[in-house]
Amino acid sequence: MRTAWPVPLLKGFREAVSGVLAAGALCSLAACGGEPVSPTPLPPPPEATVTLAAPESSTLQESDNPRVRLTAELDPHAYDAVTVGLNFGGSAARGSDYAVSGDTIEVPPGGSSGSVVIDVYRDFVQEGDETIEVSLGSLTGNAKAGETSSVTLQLLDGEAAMFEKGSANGGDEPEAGPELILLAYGIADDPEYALVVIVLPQLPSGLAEPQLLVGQWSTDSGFANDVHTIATYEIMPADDPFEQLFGNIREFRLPVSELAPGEHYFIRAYLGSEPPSTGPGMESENQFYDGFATNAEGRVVVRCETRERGPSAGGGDPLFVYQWHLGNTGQTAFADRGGLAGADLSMTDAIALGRHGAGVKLAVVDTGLEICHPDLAANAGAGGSFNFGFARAPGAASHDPFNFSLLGDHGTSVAGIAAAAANNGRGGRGVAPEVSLVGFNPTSGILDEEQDPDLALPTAFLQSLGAGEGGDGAPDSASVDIFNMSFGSVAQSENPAEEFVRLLQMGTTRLRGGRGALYVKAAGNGFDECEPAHPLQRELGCVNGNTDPDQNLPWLINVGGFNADDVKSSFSAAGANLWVVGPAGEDGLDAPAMITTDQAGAEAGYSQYPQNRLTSAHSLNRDGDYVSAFGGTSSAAPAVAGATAVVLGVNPDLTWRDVKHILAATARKIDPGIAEVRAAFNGAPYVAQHGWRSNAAGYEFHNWYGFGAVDVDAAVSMAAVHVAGSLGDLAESEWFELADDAVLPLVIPDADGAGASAVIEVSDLPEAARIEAVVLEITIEHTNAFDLGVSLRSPGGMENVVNPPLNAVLNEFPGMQNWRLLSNAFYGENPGGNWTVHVADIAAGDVGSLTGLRLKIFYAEHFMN
Amino acid sequence: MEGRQVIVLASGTGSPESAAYPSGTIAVQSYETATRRKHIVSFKGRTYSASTPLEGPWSLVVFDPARRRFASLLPSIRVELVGGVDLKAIAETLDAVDITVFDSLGFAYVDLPNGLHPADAVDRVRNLNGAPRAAMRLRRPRIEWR
Repeated sequence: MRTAWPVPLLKGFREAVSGVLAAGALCSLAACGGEPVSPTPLPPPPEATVTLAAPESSTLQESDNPRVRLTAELDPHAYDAVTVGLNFGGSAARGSDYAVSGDTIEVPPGGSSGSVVIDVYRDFVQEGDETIEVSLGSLTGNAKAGETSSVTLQLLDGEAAMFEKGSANGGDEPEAGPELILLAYGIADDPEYALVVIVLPQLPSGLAEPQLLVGQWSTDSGFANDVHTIATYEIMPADDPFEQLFGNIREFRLPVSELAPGEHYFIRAYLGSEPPSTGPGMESENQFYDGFATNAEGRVVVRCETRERGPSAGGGDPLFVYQWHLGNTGQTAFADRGGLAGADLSMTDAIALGRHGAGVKLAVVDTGLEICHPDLAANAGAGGSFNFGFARAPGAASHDPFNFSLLGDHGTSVAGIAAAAANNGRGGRGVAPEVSLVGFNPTSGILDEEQDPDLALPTAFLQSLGAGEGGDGAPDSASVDIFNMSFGSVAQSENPAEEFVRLLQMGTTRLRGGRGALYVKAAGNGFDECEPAHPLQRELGCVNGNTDPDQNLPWLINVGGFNADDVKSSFSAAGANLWVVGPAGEDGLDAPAMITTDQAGAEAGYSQYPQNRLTSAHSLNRDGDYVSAFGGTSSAAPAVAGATAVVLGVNPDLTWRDVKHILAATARKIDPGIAEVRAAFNGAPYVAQHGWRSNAAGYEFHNWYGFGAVDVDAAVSMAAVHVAGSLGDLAESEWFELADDAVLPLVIPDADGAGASAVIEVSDLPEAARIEAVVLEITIEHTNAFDLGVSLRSPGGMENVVNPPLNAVLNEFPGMQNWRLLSNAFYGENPGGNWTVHVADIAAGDVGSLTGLRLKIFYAEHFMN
Repeated sequence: MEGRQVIVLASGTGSPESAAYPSGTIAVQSYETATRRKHIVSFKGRTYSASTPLEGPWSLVVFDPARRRFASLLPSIRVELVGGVDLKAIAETLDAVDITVFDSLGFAYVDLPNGLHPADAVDRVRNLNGAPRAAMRLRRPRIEWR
């Protein structure tokens, strides 16, 4: 039981006493009646008793990264200020196992308690359970120690872990293979051959024996019967990395003479002496596998052929109720379980009010597009698509980017998420079901190794992304409003090609009558694409989205993915370069994936895959035109592209930056409780990924989510009142260099969270400058860049990790050379002042120094946040 | 090239056995075997090696000191469309296979005939009237659908 000593009385104790004395004195001077009152001395204020209160639980799991509050309680309240000294002991070492926010607790007059925070470090070192013993030390002020004058916290040791990384390899490329990489699968420009497959086998240099590379075809999709061998090559192990990457290209050509009319064929190429398991949706290493159909002339079907479909079910969209991304009610969407109601694009009003993206032109730059698909034809039928492979494919048409594969057309499924028609009695619907849809298939047109489409930035990509000006049978992409780019690079850190930069600069300044086209890009699926080298990697992800050489550019809307539970899709790449997230789902088996259009017909497309539960046996997919297991950030991007079309449909005058601004300003914060990722290395705490943080302009940002999940209804509301062009012109600063180059090279301490820091001053920008994006260019000489985390702190105090440590693509990579890292985390802040760059090496064994730094600010002059 | 210096390595049959660079920080050797051309670069205490076909577009290779790696060149160059550049003259000078003009981007791709190294093509273009600006092109990384 605590003694109550009313705070007002304590606070006014002296004043009350002096008031009594004054009143007495006054009466003694003037007749008050009766005897004069003699002043009675009051007792001294009671001494506060100080006790320590343990946190709710005194047993702490180191692996939880706990931060606990230790409280000193005073009874009664402090009369004067009280300082409570604390002593720390126990088997845990302060500084390396934990940190404390202070050695004393200050309790102000009238206060009844105060506290310090104990920050327990996760250090991945096996040291057994430990204790922190805290006891009262010296007390100043009117206080004394109570009975509970010490507290013991039990620290349960966390997971011990070593970094499993490659060692420095003398600078050669990381060892690859054995691996079979598909370079091209296309129609042969040769009357004698129907198809050609070009593959690149990669064998590790340590492999002594040659490997067989076999190409075959069959009418049996499982290759159990009727198997014909096209060719067999003996591949010699490469003795150098360059040859592994480029030296062993082989091709298989399938003669027309072996094909019959109206048949389905399958083709495969594999490395090794034993044929792998083959079939739709079956994943086998070192194998290429696909199929095609022949027409009445025995040639490969290369045009979209309208399918007969029964009468529609009388309006509506039968699969709409399953499309959680448009309205999440917790439906299972053919998976084992449903998600969280409300975890969707928040577009109830847009659907109800008919905000469907009418009048906006959206391009899907992808593997193809079925322009006559029953659920896409209404939006794609007006023309404008382009088939880059038509010239070499007999029977193909330039306006029809048909994908002749039988095993799924990525572009057709991407397109359905953005632009499937609504209320036609078929399938589901797109986010923008009245958008004008066009498709470009830039990789389909080039097949010979001289013009390998996947290894260059071919002309067709530029022509697909805004530089195609149409006329004379040429592709017209200059009339497009929104480009969906559900693709990315597989390469290690590199900066973008100059042509790509110029393309985006042109597209955002000249297209749409100068208002700028929108480039919506999938962030990538690399979060879980590795065997974690350390427990931290499970939280940071494997491949970071900023690593993609074409994604560190401010003209893009980089899109990550969330799932039906309203948290990050397990595969979605994190990165400071993200802008927003869109729905991407999971695998469609355990948890919902995305339901979208598939290649038309039960005999083609992803609907044949065992992972797909919306098979043609299901009453809602008798014709096999839909799939329930599409996913990846390939689906998040078109969802956001569709949302963007809806916004532009409401206000077509918006510039590309207006739209980006609206998406950021209205984004929905998801996964709000996500913890920061931190641990201590060499006793120094290090934050490898922040939780949600609010920047100085009030924007909240997280590297998993950018500004959050797109909220279509909120964006539409804002778009309706936003003054187009009010954000001014985008400006690009010069590079800001280090104030003092003499600090370089700056040694980065090995395996030490303290890291190394350098400061770049940004000055002489306009007072009204507001950041749109920041690009850090960094050069580090290091024996393994895998160890390195790079963070940036703005003058406004916002911190952001622009490259997390343990970025898988940097494993064994010799440092970073002029690598550019984009961050959107500082959006809206004033850029002027000192920027701090921090580099930490968290894994022992490899060392290096920071040798170059500079910073560029993309900004506009306005005061709108 | 793309804002950084690269070292163009020999290609094709009959090229010099060694193209030693005088710099104290880098040494380059390139020589033919029966079927391949070998390239050896010593830079900052490390040795990097690669081999390329003797002929064809995959024989075109550079060493990028900044990134410590070999990189493959495309058999084409980029020409800037500034100052009234005469693409016809460039096509004739290079015996170009094809030219793709991107007016909106301000450049053109010029596809080169077999046997003409992009570095030589760039030099020839720069020697024309008006000294047109031209650059070699690196092969970009493969893309994947996501």
